[in-house]
Amino acid sequence: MKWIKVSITTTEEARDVISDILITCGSKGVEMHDPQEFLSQIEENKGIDFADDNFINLIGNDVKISGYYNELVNIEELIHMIKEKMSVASAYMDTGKVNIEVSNIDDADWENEWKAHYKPFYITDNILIKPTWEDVSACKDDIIIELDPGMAFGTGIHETTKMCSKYLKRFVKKGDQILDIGCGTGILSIIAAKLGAERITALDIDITAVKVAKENAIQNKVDDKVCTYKSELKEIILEKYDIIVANIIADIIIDISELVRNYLKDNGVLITSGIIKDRKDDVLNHYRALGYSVSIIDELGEWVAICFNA
Amino acid sequence: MGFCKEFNERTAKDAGLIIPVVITVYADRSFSFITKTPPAAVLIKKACKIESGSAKPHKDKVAKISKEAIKQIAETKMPDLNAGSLETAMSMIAGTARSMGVVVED
Repeated sequence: MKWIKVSITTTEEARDVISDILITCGSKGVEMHDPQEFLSQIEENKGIDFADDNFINLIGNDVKISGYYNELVNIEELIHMIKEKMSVASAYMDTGKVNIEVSNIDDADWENEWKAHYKPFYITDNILIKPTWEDVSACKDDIIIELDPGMAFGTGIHETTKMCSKYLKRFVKKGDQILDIGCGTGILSIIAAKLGAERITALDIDITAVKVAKENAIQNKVDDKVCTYKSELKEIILEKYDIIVANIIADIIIDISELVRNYLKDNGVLITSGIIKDRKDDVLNHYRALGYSVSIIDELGEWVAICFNA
Repeated sequence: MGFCKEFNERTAKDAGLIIPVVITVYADRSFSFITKTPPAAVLIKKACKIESGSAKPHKDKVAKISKEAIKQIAETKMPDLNAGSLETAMSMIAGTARSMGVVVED
């Protein structure tokens, strides 16, 4: 798919109004290039400590706002509509020189460009994540997980995936039944399969993720163990699992708290993550109130993983 | 996808609003981001409970907004505006409101 990018050069004062115009005209969002924003990040030491003088001179003073439109849109009508709205706005504020540029953007590159930076790495202990297109020299005891994440969540780089892998490594026993809620790329299900689990039910509500997970299971020759479903928890057959892993977000972890217990064996473990530090207490309080006992609380970066027993 | 997960978590309380974000991407592919305040136009539309501004703001007025509401929006936006004082910020917000066909009440 191609996109039409419409960029408008304007002033700091008019940037919110111009953004709104681009959105009103059909852009799902806008991109702002505001040199002031960059300079204030350097001044206030928010992430950037230093920028080359030449670079600072290069970015100038103009605020540039861009909207993205479907390639099928009528460009002339679109530009006419934007110009009309801008001329109205300019009666109320300084909108600056108002230079409109139109360009075509091909987004196919984004689907592949990141691959150059995704290299083999150990997610935990001896579990080695290997992008399908990379060669790797592994040690004898390494468990290799071949992965092509596509557009799904779960490259293994994210802190939450790392923590979940660590606890799967700790808890999965040979012959275990596993439930993976929000499986994304299937990375956790595949790890569980390679650690000896007998059967893994992997759910996701995103059909893209389910397809990616299935392909990854085949790639790792564990598709006889990993069953993928495009489904919510409440829609699957009620069975008891030794380990349930849910790496989603705090609100969903809270939402499923009552239901998920029905799927957990008496001595089973529920591994949850995707919980940002600010929400840790919400999740803990909620689960404790339901009578779950907390066996592990772990943190990595901004993220928390919590293991519960029923 | 890592970014989406973190952004959604950090902005869950602002569901439905447009939240600008400044992303810094480092050479090792890690990133950090700072969320900003929603655009003034979005806050004005929310305060007035309108879907969009007027196409002819000088003639067709679509809503009224109180000075108090302008002040609240200015206070919200203050960290992101290059305004020296709350008064300057308020006049910027009022200008945005007028450009949308929203009448600013005294």
